[in-house]
Amino acid sequence: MITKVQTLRIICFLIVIALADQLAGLVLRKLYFTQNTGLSANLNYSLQDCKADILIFGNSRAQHHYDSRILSDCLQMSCFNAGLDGGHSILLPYAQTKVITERYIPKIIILEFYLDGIAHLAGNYDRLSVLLPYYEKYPELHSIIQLRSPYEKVKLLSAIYPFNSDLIDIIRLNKKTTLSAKQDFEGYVPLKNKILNAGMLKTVTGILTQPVVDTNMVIALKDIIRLCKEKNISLYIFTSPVFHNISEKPGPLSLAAKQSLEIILQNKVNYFDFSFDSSFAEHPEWFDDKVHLNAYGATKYSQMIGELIKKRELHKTNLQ
Amino acid sequence: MLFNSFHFVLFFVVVTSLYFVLPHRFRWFLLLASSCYFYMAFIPVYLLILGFTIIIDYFAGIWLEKTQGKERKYFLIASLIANIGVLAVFKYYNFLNTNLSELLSSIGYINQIPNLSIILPIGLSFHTFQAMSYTIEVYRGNQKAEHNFGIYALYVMFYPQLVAGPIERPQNLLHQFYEKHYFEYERIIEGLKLMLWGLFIKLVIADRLAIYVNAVYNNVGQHGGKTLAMATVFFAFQIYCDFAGYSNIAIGAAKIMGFKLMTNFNRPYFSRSISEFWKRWHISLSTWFRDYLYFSLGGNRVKVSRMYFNLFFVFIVSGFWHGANWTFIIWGALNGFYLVFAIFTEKWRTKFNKLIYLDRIPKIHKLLQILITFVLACIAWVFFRANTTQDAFLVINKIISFRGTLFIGDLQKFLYGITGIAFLLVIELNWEYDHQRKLPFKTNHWFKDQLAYGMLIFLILTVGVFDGGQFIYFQF
Repeated sequence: MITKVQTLRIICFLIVIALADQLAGLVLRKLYFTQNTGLSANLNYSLQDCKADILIFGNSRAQHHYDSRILSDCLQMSCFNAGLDGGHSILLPYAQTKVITERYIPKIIILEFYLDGIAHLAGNYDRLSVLLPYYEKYPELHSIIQLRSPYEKVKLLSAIYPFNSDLIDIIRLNKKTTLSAKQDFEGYVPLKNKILNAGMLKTVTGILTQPVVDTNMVIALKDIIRLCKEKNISLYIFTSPVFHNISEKPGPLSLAAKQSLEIILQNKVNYFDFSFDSSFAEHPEWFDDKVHLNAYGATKYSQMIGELIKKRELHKTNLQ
Repeated sequence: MLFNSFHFVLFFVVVTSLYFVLPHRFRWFLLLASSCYFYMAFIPVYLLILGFTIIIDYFAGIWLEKTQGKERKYFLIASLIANIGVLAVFKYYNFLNTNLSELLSSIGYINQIPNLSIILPIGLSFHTFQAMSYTIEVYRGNQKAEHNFGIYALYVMFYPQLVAGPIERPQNLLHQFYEKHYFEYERIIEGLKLMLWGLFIKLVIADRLAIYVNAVYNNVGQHGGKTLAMATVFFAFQIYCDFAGYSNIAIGAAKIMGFKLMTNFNRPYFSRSISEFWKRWHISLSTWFRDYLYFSLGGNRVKVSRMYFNLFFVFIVSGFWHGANWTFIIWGALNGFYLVFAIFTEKWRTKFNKLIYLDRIPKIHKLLQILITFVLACIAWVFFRANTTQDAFLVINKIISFRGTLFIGDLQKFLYGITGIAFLLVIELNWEYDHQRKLPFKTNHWFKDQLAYGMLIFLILTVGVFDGGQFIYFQF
């Protein structure tokens, strides 16, 4: 059986753990929100402070393909690239759109999106961990964050848990101790490598074979479109280039891709697919890897879409 | 239901609480029901397969005990065929069929037999071996047949060790289900500490290292020798922490309820030889193969050449047990070769050590032995981890050439990995010198003890990977 002393020891231990958790969480929270560079800092800026006229959302392809400076110059508006490295799903742009549009209304949202982006992929929900530090502050994020697991609410009782895996970066990228963070330009992070041996690369089909549609992703896509319509934000959805040879053609659309396209077309959203654009074919020197443009490729691409958006916006203005 | 999931935490708290609340005579039923629930959390219908083998082995055990003479062998064979048959269908059929297709196509024939679209039942290899050990021990007369069907089913399905061991023996486990277990503070705290340690090495070390290992091993063509060497070393610790972590959680969970499961890992990377390595690594499996296969083949009570064959064969089978892929077979064969070579060259190595005075500097000698054993284990791990045999040989070639820069990727994750390994080695080195200790930390004062385990909780919360990483050995 258990003695009084033993019971007391257990209670003391649990109390100390809880207090230590809250204290450590407080310190980590403070440090997290004072990072001045890096992915978390960019996310934080986009959610809390940014008031740019043009916002770019998406995963690593957004962050590395859309040069905010070029778009800003071309469209004569301020621009911030809120794309985030890390293979994020459309749930992240959805979360960003929900939070940001409560605070202010941007004029244009550019969404980097692969048509298969509504397919179920292992890890899609795990990557929502980047939003955990914002759970407390933004109730509109609760429904998205709780997609991670049915026990997320319980885990978030721990003050440390939202900062899981960020300890070194929180310290490293903090204001006073900034160390070799990747340089970014209004959120855009240029990549410096180029493909040296294109022959080593496997053929890019451009299409995932995973046919299962994730209804949460469908809702996210539809809601982004709806929010933009309601708040009169010009939404542009792009699929930026992947490395391919001139002879390569995209494969047949998967079920998920077809459904995405249907949603986009039904809602008359500006959608442009440059994944197999011929001007990017046979140019390994424009790519960092199969699916990412390097700085040179991003410049060319940003100039191209800058002009395209400019024409569209002008046309829209003329119609009005 | 993974041990590192919240679902398991709730399950464990509820089951353990009920266990101590219920009268002893109902506890076996609670454990059996909860074990069924635990298994059904994976793929529910596979409970039927488990049920099938349990029924076969239950009756086989009873008939083995009742029968005399040659007939006994037939019941044993029937039981073994049922168990191995299930394993063969679910685990090895597609591998064997694919290889048959390749063989036939090489001589101009087409294999008409299709592959099966089935998922391997989780933990199949583990509970199959545990069931087989029961019928073999009854046959040998070392164990009385269990007449209570529920207790026998619980022996196979006991949830802490159902899906990834330790593979228990009936002599150790069965009688424990009849014993009364009481709520004992010290034992429960020890069990919780063991579970916490297991969770720590799984979430903080194994799953962190996995991020780097997967990034490298899934793209071996893109990485140089230095990176592949680093990834291989990382994998050595990843698989150890993953599997030992699971075993610790299993042993700790069972201990809390009063059950004693066998130790499965004994700091294997401090081994001074491959022979010692296999006495410290996955002990429940290596002793299973020793007792039921190696000894049945004659063990070392045969001619030397036959002994070498026995060793080599047992390790090939062990490799095959791990997975239906040539990489696992080569991994097993390599370990078998190491052992045979070590025995074959023992005299010469002893003479050589004397020649270079290595026997006079025992600490250096011991360190060299540990390092060499670790390197040999890592070479074998290349085959265990690589996706294909071509990848494995490519990795070995690149490591030998040792060219290219070291890929670090995400610096934060890389540092976590290195720090985790360093932390583990410090703890285990300390533990290695205190064999009596059952837990990673030993302090003289209660407060220091709580501080150490509190630190583990803090590290799990800040650095642990919570993205539901499956245990590697679940796939076996």
